[in-house]
Amino acid sequence: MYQEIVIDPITRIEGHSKITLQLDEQGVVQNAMFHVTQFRGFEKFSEGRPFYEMPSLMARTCGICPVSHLLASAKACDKLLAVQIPQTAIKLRQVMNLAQILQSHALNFFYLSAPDFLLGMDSDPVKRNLIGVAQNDPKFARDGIRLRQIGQMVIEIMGGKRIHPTWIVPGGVNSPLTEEKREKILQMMPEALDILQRVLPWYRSTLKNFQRETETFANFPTLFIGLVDKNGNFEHYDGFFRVVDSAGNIIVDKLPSHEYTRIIDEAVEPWTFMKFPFFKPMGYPHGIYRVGPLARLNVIQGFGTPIADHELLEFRGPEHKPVLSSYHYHWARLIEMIYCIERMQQLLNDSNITSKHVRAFASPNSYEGIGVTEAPRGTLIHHYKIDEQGVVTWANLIIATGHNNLAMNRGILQAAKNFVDGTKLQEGMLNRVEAVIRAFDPCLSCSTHADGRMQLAIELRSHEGELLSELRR
Amino acid sequence: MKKCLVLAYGNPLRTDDGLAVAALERLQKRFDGETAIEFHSAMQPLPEHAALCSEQQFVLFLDASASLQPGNISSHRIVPANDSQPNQNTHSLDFQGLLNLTHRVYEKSPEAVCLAMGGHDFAIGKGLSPETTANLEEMVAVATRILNAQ
Repeated sequence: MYQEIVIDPITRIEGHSKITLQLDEQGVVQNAMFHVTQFRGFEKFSEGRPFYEMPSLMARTCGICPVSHLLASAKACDKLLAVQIPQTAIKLRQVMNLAQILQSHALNFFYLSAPDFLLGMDSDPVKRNLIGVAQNDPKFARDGIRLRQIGQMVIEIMGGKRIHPTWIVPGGVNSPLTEEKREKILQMMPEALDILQRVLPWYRSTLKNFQRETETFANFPTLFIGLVDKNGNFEHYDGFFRVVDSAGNIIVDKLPSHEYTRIIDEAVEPWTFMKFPFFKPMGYPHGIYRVGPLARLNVIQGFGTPIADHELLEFRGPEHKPVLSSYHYHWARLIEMIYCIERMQQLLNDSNITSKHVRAFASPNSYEGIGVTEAPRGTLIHHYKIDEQGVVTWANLIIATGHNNLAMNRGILQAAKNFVDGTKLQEGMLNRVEAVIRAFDPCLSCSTHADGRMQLAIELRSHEGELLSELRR
Repeated sequence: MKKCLVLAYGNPLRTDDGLAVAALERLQKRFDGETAIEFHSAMQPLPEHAALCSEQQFVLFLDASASLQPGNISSHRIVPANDSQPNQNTHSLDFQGLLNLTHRVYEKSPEAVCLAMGGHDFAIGKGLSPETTANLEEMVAVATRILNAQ
């Protein structure tokens, strides 16, 4: 006989999902499942659309990271056109992607996760939100809002809109960057860097308060996958696949991104709408891997920018081994934000960044195109097939969050086993289980309107369905 | 004129949910050249809008309403929420919550009014319903009077 705890919805994440915990008669957690409860259908309703619509369509997948989808989709369409993208266009696309990563990471760190860091995992859930952060530390809240604002303003200056800009197109970008816009963006960078150089040491100082969480939040061996450049350094726009194991051994390297099917396949389970990508040579579910900030810092040689590289050394510690605890996604996110600013400064100071040659034009010259980038949450793959009229006949999207599905499921089980006591249920126990998911920063749909129902009901039921205990907020 | 911010919320891909954004576009033309007014639109209130509010003396929120009769216009003053009121999180932030955030984070409390009009049709679709299109100018006129009084 087992008991079941359902956490529905999971709070302070993007999208809709729930967690089910199954307990034995002694109240000990035996199993956990992370259910994604929403269905989007983008892969299916893309069929029949002209290929050139895909970037704009795919950007609608998400309201937090639309640029990621816009970019991966445009790159897939670049391959359909089989054109050479002007170098300036590549750099401009990179700047926008970096701004995207910056504002998305700021959202997770300051708005969604900071209530736990600042106020504590067991704090009053009524106050454990952005208002609670603002009450506790207004300057910290200002910093978070400002960082997100800067990232979004860069996107708006370049693309005309903060959310769902249409500026990145097949073949390049729609318009060149003016000198005035370049200056406007550059002027914001020192302030953003200053914020991060204050927040990062503060965050490191909080880690001593979360040692148990660090030990138990999806802290186990997995593979790590990410893109790297030809020198093994951080790469978010192009590059090659690298796969590293938990001991730091490189087991796949320099794999061209369009050959992703050699290492990634997808499984499905009946209890969730999110698929389970896995490392193909090891099969499902042994081929568990992670992507995103933690994985990227584990696979790269370095960043190639001075401050981020210095922080990377601190992150890895003296043994220079992969960091396994998913609690440290938060730390990795902060370091990546620093890289984003440093790299944007480098790109914007390039002498050709305001060149007017920013787009290549062609009709389709290939019937299959694959676009791979690093989105804020991990590696993002858009794969399309078209017919002779340029109409999409098939599309497959492997979303960053999907790559982490196996790890998230295993992670909530680990945390639940360590924190949840079914005989005396407390809200802080369940907040920790949710916080595992939060550390991965999943993007489960696209963040348009929620309907305001952020109340949470946690029920403990017997196998026969009898309500044994209940917590509501 | 005081430093004013017009913030319009709604989804233009849900027919009349986009009426506030449409009203804002008309207001922008009407007040073209007026440097004391800033215009912004978004699908929903976001924490970043607290930064915008903090820089102004007066904020006019424009919104579509599903509870007002179609075409009916309502205007009322908005006061900051207190800390314990609901709808003050990143998923569901209302205007009162946004003003509370502005006060908490920036120690600023601009005056604020919400001007809403009842929509006729909120189904998925581009462009306003004919009924709302016919009523929109009245909302713009009320907004114009409110702004001219600042």
